[in-house]
Amino acid sequence: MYRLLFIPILLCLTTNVTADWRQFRGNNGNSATDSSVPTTWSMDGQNIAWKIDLPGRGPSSPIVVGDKVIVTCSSGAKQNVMHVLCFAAADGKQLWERKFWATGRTISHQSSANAAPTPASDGNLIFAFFSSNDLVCLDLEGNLQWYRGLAFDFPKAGNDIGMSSSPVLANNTVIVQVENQGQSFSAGIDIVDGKTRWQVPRDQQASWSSPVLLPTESDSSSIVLLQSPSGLTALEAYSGEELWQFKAETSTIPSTIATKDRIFFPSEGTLSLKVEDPRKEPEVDWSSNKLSPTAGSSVLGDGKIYSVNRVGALTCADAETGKSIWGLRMKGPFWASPVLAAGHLYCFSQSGEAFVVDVRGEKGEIVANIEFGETMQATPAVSNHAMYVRSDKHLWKIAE
Amino acid sequence: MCHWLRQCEVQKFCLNIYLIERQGKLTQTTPIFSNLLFSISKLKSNYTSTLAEPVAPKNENFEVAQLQKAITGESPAIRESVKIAVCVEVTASSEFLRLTLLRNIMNRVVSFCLMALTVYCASFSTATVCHAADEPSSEQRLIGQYLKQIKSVGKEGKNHSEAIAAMRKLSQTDIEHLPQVLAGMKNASPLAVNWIRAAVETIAQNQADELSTATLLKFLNDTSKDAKARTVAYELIQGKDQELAEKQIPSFMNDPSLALRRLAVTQTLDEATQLEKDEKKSGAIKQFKLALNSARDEDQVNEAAKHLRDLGEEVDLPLQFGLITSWQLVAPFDFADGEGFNTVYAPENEIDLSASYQGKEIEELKGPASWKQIETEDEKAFVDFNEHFAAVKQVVGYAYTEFNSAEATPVEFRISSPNGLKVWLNGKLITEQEIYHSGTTFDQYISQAKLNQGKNSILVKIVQNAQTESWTNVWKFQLRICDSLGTAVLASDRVAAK
Repeated sequence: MYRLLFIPILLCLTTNVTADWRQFRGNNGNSATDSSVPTTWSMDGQNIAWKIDLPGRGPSSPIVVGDKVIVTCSSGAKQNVMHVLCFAAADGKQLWERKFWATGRTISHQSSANAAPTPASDGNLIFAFFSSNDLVCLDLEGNLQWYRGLAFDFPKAGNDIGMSSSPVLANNTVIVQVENQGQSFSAGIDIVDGKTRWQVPRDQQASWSSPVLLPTESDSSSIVLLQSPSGLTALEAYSGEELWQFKAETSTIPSTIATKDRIFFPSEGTLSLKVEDPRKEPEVDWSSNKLSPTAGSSVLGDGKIYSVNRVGALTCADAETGKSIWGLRMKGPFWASPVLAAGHLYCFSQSGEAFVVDVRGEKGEIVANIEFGETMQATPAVSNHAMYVRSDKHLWKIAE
Repeated sequence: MCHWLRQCEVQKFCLNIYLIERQGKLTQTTPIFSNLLFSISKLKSNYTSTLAEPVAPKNENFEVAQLQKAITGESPAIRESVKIAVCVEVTASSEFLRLTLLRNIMNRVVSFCLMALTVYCASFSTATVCHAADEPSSEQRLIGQYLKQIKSVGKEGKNHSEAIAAMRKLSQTDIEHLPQVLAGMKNASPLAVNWIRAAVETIAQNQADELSTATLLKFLNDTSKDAKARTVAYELIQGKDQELAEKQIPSFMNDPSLALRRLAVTQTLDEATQLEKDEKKSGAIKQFKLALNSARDEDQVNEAAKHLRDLGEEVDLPLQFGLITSWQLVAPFDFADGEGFNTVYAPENEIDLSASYQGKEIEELKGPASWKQIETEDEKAFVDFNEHFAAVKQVVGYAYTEFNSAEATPVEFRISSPNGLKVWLNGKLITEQEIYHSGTTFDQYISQAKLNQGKNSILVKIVQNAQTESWTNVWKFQLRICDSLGTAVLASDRVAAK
């Protein structure tokens, strides 16, 4: 009897979890979902469920937790005002907004903003991180749990082009990468009290990529991969203990994708590493210089890997072998990572042009090309057959 | 109480009123003092207008009403601590104008002092009665404790456990006590200010129906309160009553809150632009000048300056920002694979502008390194070593200048450079940044310092590394001295020169 009761509860929880989009590039960090979303829409209303004004700029992605959409922005003459906003997914009604003043450096290239990193959530708490290295923990009702100014602790931690590394969560720890020419480090912060659980020094070189989790058997054994210009480092998420390093010249902007048996990371194109034991250094499986993500990260789904380079060349390759299958050209440049949703790839250019590419056939085909007319650098979020797209001015829900 | 006329000068007009505590100690923490400054700022604004275009001040009793409101809202302890003396300094551009203005001013001063005296005396008679009523309630004491615990948060999560517990309680505070929570931002660290702000926003959100704009307005108008707290008060008013909030904007023209000031400057720029479009040139110039002098954000200063130049006016941007344009330069010394950043070359030991040094041997720069005087004509006052020496890599250069300060005063040194840098003031290192080609922007690095009265020596070290990308072919810096708001602090001899 208890088992029978347990199964529907488990299914319900599983459904809720998979419906969420809780961090940069989705829960699995591969920018892919089975949830279908409209393959076309028009800016004057068709399949636009709602559109709302945002109070500031930001290349950060929206995240979706349950029935809430969370977005960060930054505003002010020096981008020093940080906003965390929560909207009802159903109708776009603003549920709450919290504002903070940056305690670290807010300078960035004009194309970026202080709200560049994407927030992360464990389903109960929100962790909003900013280029200024301010880290805010709020509950889903907007109640501040704690606030850290990592650059308040380390004033030379910063990058005047702008930081963009997004946090990840594992084993009650929020992990951030603060890699720059000044005080460069990665830290694991206890999600309960906001205290530093561990901190490790990193190369004094700028990096904009985000940490990713290497899947393990349980949350308590979580491993985080830190990408830097000199390669990958695997740490225990809870303790920060280093497990292995893989040395290679690595891109500093697009981020790694990790599955339980493979790691794809941007190194002179894309390098695939075979994972036998996540606690041991992996070996090179294949490399491809045709898969060359420049700014946006690659996408992994349906056994294929997709990447877009700076000028807008989209390449699809076999994830097992790295062999190119097809390619097509879009009008770039692109900063946002593409998102794969039910056989369609959604790519948003910096100038605000959306390309919907049907990737189900032997070759990719652009099936829709829609002009937003606003600067777009954020990777969209997908949840419950809806896609959430943000520009520097607006947040849209695209759904039937 | 006393008031007296102290000084008259030609050229410009200004009015200052000082409040002196009973013990003779001036304090800016006294709300009355700040309100007076605010009132007088209004008065000055009116008379500044009068100077340019003779019109009557708009609000005859503004400062008196403001003072009355401020004093009656304060506790007897504050009221009791203040004794007022008024000192008026008046200068006018002509004898006629001076006398006219003096008459008006003295009328105001007399009214003002009478009102202040009345309130002051009243405070003595009621102090004892009111004392019991002003004792903090148990809830106020608790709020004070929560704020104290939150304000104790420090680096690396210090005192977080206590602050988290206090935060939960503070966020449930009755909205009646919102001003106390807002006031808690004063003297809070940049971290604690954000905790308190979150508590304020949670209280305001959860009890939105009971949010009193009148209470918030009183807090906003009290410029002795923390600038950030006042900004939050304004935003809460805005959320509740947009029209009321907008009415406040003109009074922010010289506000200590840069966020509020920016609103007023934006409005003034908009008005000026409209006047320009309507071909009302003199009105547009007047408004753009007003915006230029109040603006502290680079973009607003630049916008006002551009329009003024379009209208045929001269604007000295380096002067406006306090950028230093006159330097002695010497180069090249050796980068030495990065070691040059910390290598102590001769200029760091002693400044001898007649000396020559054995610098780095470079084909493009033969001979000993000797000092050369330059006056940068760059609009942004960048000092470009590539221009004055050669576009070379892996080199170190020094820039030296002397700054005559009329008084010993705390200032900010704001320096920008794509290169590694060090700055010394009077031989003391005030900042070092071993960062290369990671963006350059106005006010990139800000350091607190204190100028001596008289001569101050400033030495800047600019280090060019070995990067070879075309965009790294820059070896330059820009330095300005200003106060914490960004108001230019100028050398005394530079003012005279201009």
